[in-house]
Amino acid sequence: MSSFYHKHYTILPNDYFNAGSASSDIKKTLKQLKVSKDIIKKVSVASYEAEINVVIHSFGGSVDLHIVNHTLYLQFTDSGPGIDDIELAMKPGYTTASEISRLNGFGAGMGLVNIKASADEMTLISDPNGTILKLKFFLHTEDANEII
Amino acid sequence: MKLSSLLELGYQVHTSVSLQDEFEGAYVGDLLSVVMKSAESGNLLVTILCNLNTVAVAVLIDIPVVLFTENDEVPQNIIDKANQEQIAIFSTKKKSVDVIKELVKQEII
Repeated sequence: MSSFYHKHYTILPNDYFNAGSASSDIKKTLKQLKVSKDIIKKVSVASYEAEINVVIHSFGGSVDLHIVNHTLYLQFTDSGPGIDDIELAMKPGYTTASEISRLNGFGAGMGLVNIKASADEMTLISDPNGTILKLKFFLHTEDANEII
Repeated sequence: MKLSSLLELGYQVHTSVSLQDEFEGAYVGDLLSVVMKSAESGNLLVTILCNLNTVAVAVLIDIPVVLFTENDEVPQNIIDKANQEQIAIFSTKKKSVDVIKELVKQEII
């Protein structure tokens, strides 16, 4: 059996007021689709961290939610300036965040670490023209059947 | 535990969320990444981080109530957002550690 679901969201740079609205809508969507609670939590945490990264660090971008068969995909894309050293960025505690992001409760260098721990698979590609973060979450069979 | 138990301890309530709503256990933290990783659904969140993003995180991980410490004034935009999302907001001038001591003493957590 095959199924397909897609939703696209724009993420604005430095917009701390609306930061999290895409993730919040993704969570509501997954609830409506009756995805199980543990998967919703994992997707929400990863999605929110990634969305905040786009708000804090990028010139703006977007996120696409796809559900295909038994798998949920989130793809975050931004238009730069890119991550200098991905290996360093993945280290717990490493941060390049500004004072303003720290005042907003972020910038502790835990974002990518949390994302990696939450997603079943993670791919991060970056150069000065932009960053693409692809996340994959395997749904329980019963979740996937509900969605269809 | 009912939200009304927090009111009885003298913490100030800012939202119109029903005080009959319940929470279970608590989590203390001021870094949202760590709060997201470690707090459990249903917890009371005790934090000094009086910020819109705190409410956004509460919504995402099913935290029904946030208690802001070392500060008893909460900006209106945070209260509006919390009311809209049905998250209860309390505040106190006390420190987080003293709040936890009090909640344990009163057997609230």
